[in-house]
Amino acid sequence: MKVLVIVCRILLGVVFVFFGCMGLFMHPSLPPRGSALGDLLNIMHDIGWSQAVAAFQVIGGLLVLFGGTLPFGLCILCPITVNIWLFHILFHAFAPSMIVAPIVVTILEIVLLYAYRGSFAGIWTTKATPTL
Amino acid sequence: MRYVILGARILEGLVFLIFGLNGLLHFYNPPPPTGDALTWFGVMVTHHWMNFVAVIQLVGALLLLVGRFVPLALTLLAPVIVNILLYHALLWPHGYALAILVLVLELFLLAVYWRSFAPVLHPNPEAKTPQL
Repeated sequence: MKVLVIVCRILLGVVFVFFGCMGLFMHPSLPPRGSALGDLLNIMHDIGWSQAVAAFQVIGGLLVLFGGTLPFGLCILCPITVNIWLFHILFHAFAPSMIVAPIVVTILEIVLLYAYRGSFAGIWTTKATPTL
Repeated sequence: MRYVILGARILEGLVFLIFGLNGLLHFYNPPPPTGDALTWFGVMVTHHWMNFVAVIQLVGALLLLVGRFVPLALTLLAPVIVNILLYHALLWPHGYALAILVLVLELFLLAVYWRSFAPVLHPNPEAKTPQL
């Protein structure tokens, strides 16, 4: 179990740091404006939204790689993964080359969420009492 | 203080209840943005991305209003708020008063329910799930 967790951690962290750096530093080849997909991707890239997401991917990936901050890293990467899935589902981007990474990342996240479930137990409390 | 917390919970719940319902039923159409923001928003609406966001908002709002699973509600709404802020910061720098209000309420509630979230930032997360 311990080895599995470390493998998942490194894999998840590296994948997100890699894709995050690509999003930050490489100029992507986007479909031209005019179609819904082209409009969306070009606008998100031009205004810097894609770069913001990429920066969050790098931060989340690094937090997952450093052991002490893994749960917080998952908190950043999970909403990003949800949105990656939304993109693929809503724009029917199911080509094998595009869908493998999201599937792998999702499996890794589920394994890690389970392995570190103690860190998230507080979030699942039915009747949490506020302090102060 | 109890009533401040209750008020913050109800207020954030109501805001997201109204916007979540509006995202699905469209009973109120605010003046649309222009330019890229309009194009972007149009794509997000026609491809049902906004419907998903609305459902998340509704679930979070109902949990906040009912007062059960409040930390889970805050966890669901936090990424939504981040994206609302990104939208206003990058794409449409108008009418963000409500976004700021929601951000303040969310941060306040995160602070008073901090006991639920503290384990996420625990420096030794492995100790939180001992059988790991």
